[in-house]
Amino acid sequence: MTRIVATGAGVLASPGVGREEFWRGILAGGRGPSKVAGWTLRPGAPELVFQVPEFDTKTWIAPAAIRRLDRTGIFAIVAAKLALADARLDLPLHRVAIVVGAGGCGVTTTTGFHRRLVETAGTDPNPMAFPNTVPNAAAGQLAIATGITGFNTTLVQTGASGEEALVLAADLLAQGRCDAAVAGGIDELSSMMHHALHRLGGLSRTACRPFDRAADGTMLAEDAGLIVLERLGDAKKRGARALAELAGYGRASSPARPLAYGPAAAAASAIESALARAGVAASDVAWVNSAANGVSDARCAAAIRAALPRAAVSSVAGSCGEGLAIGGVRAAASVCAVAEATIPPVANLREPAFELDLVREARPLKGAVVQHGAGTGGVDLAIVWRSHA
Amino acid sequence: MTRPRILVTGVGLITALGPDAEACWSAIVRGKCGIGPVDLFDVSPYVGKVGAQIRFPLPLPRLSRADQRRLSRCDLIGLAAAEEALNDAGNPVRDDRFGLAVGAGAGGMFDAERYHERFVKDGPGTRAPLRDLSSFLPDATAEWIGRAFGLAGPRVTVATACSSSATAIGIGADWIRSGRADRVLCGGADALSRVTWGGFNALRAVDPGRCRPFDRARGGISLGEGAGFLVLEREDLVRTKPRAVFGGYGVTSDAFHMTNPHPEGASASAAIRAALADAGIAPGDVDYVNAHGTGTPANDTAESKAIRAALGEATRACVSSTKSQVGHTLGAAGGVEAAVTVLAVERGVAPPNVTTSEIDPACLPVDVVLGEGRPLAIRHAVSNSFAFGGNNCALVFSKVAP
Repeated sequence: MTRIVATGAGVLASPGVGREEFWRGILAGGRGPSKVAGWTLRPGAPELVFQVPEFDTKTWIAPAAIRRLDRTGIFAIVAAKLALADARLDLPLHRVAIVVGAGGCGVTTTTGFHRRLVETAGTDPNPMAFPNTVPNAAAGQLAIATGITGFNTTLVQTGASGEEALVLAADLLAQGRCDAAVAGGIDELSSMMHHALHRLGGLSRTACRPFDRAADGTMLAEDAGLIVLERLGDAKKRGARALAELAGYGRASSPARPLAYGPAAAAASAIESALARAGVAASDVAWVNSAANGVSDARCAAAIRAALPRAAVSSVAGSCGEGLAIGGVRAAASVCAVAEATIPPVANLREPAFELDLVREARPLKGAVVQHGAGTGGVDLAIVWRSHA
Repeated sequence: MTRPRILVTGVGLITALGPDAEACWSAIVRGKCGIGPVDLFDVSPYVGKVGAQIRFPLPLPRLSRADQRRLSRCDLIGLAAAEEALNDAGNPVRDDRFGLAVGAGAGGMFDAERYHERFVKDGPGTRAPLRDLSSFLPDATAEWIGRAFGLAGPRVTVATACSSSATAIGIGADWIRSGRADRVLCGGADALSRVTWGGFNALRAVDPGRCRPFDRARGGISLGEGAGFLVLEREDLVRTKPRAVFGGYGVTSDAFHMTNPHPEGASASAAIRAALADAGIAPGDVDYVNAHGTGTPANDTAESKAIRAALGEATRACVSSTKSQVGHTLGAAGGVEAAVTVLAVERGVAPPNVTTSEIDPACLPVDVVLGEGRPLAIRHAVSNSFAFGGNNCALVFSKVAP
């Protein structure tokens, strides 16, 4: 079996920009949500979202190129450049793959484009905006900005989009379709997604509190988490530092409706199948990096109790919020946890609602990590990470 | 490690030309064109007034009434072709070894536009029905197909615009090769929408009349809608008569421009070469290419160069674009055209380019099939799909040895 390792990570998330700042932020419980500006909200709709702290776009992107990009394109390019620099990757560009998990990428541009169609009765569509309406615009813009001509694709699997991208990248490496992959997830904030989730009753007005008794919904986030994956042998050959090994993954698909989760047993089965494929015993798992987001907590907790009852558990949603492709950021947390041998805490946890070993303060990691990504529509993915040594 | 051979055992197809594969194929070889007036929404503000709209009633899938009310136009189109493909394959056992890889484009946009128009006019307090948003995310069609047919294996939705479904077929085949699945339903679906109609018109990429791929006077695309699905099975599990062999695929990126192809088609050519290498087939043995062939001036010239660069200057492969008959079905195009390519290989007929009258010298010496289907013993065929963002995907299908 081909061994796959992570050799770099590029992160933009509310707790911080760049792998190190992000990880310090996660350990400290994050910066918390902030009021969104510029949206006209439905009366009573929550105003709090997780936003990426300001960063200087010009450090990474030429001013002339910026005007062709929407926020997802900027996120993709900055996160990828951070990840490639972190990995010190210097490979022929046609052998590098880009695999992006897109949550609602392009929704802001699409709704803006359609608004103008409605307001002008179709007489004045905006040609500049249209190319960025497609979900793969971010991955396309990223290829253009970096010159990477290898396998390039964009996947959508609602809340498991980031994990979907990572496991496809691992498969591409195992199949020899690329020599390195930049893979993960990108999320933008869009007023339409926020509006829809609010109407569906999924948003909290106060805080994102995974696993807490007071959890009353989730909060949306913008984020990007891209990981550089390589075959272990290749990474060693070029003298790259491996942060963590992607030891295996498992999945389960259930016949759920779009926007509804499948049963908890499916999530447990994805975790068990990932452990079997990775050859890791349940007793060797020290941390579950859970998908719990303030809405899906009971389901996630039931799956963990069934598959990994003794592991420590936390979720990055308390400090990062929920984006459909937050799995890229979740993966960055998995990789950092392995590299730094530390389990991060759940932010905002006051009164645990479940009998699990929920992590309130950072503690040492002694064992493997299981990352769970849960998509509505019935897809669960689990990834096992461990130290490659 | 030897890779298992993968056979295509089921085909499902729905386009403006007809509700199933046989109806579409018969219209295709007879040289019919499905591009005509569009009344799904108001196209009067635009230069492009024709498209390949599905004008027959879409069948209701075997889902509960509550589920049926939530389906988008795209979901209905996709479910129809998915069901046909599964039936065509003889309904093999559907369990957690049966994967589902779906390509999406505009997806539920047509229905979501209804909601968003109310949102724009009423403001965020709108009481527009939420069900118009139930299929707004691109993976909705895959989730409904999984739910309707009980496919519990690996599932993914590819969202790379016009190459989505071709890439989905490649990813699905890789699941069989790597042992993650025994069978895969793969392809894609898409529906016309105001956003894509307005967008391609804004880019001035639409032919005022019917699109004319490879024609000297071509003026752009004609939009269409449809779905194409294949059932792929590992050879040792096949119980029905296979239609073709799935050979391989290749995916690359231009890394050049969001909407224009690289003028030399360098990465497109690399995708074709990668697909042939994946299939273990010599470029000179390709007899038919189902081109991306959008009918835009830039694509057809660049694609001709890419085909010649990949297959060799001396290639005798026949080339045609199914888009001249079913329009550009965007997210479904890779699946629709893969289905047509499989039927072409199985039946020994190269489908035609029906709207083209004078071939652009810049696209020569590619041998473009005109008028009606041309009888041709096809050993191996390539189906190209290129997309916004510079994505390129090529698929290879081969004749089943008698």
